Amino acid sequence: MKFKKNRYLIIGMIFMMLFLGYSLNNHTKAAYVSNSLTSRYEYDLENGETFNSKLIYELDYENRVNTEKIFGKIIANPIFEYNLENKTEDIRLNEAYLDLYFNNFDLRMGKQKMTWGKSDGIVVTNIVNPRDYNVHPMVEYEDQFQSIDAIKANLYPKNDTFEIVWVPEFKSAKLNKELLLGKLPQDFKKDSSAKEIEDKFKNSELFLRYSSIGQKYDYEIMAGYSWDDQPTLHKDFQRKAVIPQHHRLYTFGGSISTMKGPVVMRGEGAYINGKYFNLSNPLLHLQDYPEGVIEKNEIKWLFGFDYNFEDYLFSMQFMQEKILDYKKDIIQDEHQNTITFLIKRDFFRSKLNTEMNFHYNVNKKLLMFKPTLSYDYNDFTNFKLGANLKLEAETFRSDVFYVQTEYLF
Amino acid sequence: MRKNRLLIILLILILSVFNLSTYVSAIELTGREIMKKVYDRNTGQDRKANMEMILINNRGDKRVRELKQFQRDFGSSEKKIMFFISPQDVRGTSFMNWTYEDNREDSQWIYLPALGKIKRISAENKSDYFMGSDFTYDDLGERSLEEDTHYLIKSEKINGEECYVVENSPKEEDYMYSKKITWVSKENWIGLKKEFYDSDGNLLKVLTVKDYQVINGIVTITHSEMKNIQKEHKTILKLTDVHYNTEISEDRFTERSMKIGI
Repeated sequence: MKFKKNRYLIIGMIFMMLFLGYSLNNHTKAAYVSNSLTSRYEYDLENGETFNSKLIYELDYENRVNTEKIFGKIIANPIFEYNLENKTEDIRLNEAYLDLYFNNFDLRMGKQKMTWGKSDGIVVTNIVNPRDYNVHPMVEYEDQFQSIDAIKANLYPKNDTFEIVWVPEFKSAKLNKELLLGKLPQDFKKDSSAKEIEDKFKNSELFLRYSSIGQKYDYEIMAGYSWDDQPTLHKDFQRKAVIPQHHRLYTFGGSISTMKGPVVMRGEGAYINGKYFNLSNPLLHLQDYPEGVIEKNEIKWLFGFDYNFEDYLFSMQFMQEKILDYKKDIIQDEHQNTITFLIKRDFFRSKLNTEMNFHYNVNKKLLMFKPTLSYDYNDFTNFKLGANLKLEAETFRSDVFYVQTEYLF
Repeated sequence: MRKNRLLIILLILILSVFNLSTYVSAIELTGREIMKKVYDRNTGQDRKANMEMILINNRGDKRVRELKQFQRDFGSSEKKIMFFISPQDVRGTSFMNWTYEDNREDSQWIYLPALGKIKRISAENKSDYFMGSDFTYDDLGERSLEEDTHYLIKSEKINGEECYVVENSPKEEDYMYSKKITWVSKENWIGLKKEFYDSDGNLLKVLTVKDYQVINGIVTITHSEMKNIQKEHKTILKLTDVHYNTEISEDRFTERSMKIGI
């Protein structure tokens, strides 16, 4: 019922924005409307079948407010997705917010996404928006982040940026059910009756960031008082139940990037306090850890670089997660290492873009390969071919090939 | 008779001196001096303008890119920021460049709205083509006088305008062009035509100025065309709504400005 109501509300909003946008643009040039229609065909390479054929309509609406007293923008980005295979539809707001600009202070209120840190496609300090692990195939890395309802205030001391983000209502990561169930011990059932994080002020999240760009280097310093957006699986051995629970985290971190000739180097690091981990053999530690979980602190660090050579861009990153004061029976390794590698090249005056992305989880020996070929037929039509492939890995995700056409109007 | 002879000798002497001085003034300017006048030309303390780039391929198909550009000379550095207006898929993207007087490496950033992130990018690859056009980042940026040696070839008329033809050869060995030849207007010290030669010494591109205007007392190229001779495509570059010395604030060249846009 709630979904239906929201759906009609968003459809109504789309029509209103289109009407307002075009009429305002004709009269005052204050509004901007951009539409895109994408048809995507997704093919499962392992099972030899089409598993999705989608039609995606996306509207970008921007309305500038510029009076003597107020200067700002209204932004809305609804998406309507229709799955032609299983005849299902989904309508959602990717972003919808109000921006207000003052002399040395900005305010953004509403559903929004933000990106922190210098890394690409790997999360170290970029912790504000939770991820959606169900996105498959992943066409763009940013697709995996969910928008959140938040109030963001930006202050600008000496042309730097001090950002405060308040998230009144916690939003969890969307975990893949198969992945979650795969973690359950034998004979245990998932108990979802445990209360979600209540929408109370004391349960809200707060994030702070200071960032600066300069001649020699750019840097960011951040802190977060948040919930772990991935739950830990607490166990009730009497009931043989697994209860997913989120925990409070304190995160402190920073990132830096600098350039030397054709190389842009970047580093990022974070200290995470209060993270819970599952134990691999909980029955052995019942007395100390009756729910089969243990609290530890963690550090993450990343080093990466972009290197331009001739017409190619090479980009590489190495990230390590280390559990401090490690206990042998923790289900995760003490050190978890990830390597990413990207080669990119444009052809025909940037009409044809080629990309090869590799993501390697060293501990799990899981290599994901994401090649993409994108061609701008003209300024309005783009064709894209791509795949999400796994090499030498045991994972529930199948290899997928996709082809899409995007038309902008 | 003697008086007349003296008068004739005097006249010859005067004429010779006059002729010589004319000749001297004609050869007095070296290639370097001509190019120095080009570099030292008044371009204002700051400038804002709308830029339109029309990319035309060898079949005549057109693609249009629109940008808004702000630039300001701060003395020890020059800062430039460009906001991409169209096409739709790049709208909201911004590009910022800081150039330094003391030959330090430029600093460059790009803001990608889809990622919501500002990325520092290498300024080393000046041979990359800007937005798929026929202009490289180097063609659009400022090159210092000392980076090339300049040699005056001849004088020639272009569209009825007297020009010096100067060859500019790079001192740097692995520069993207083996040489450039510039036609400099004798009247207002702007380059009216420029030929770019590739590393093998073959003609690669020709830049032709189609129109220029005096705006706020400053000679401004408002319409130019860069033609790639080897690949037979070209880019038309037009500047409109040009304003000089409007006291563009330093706030314009910041992280905040890149994200908010225009």
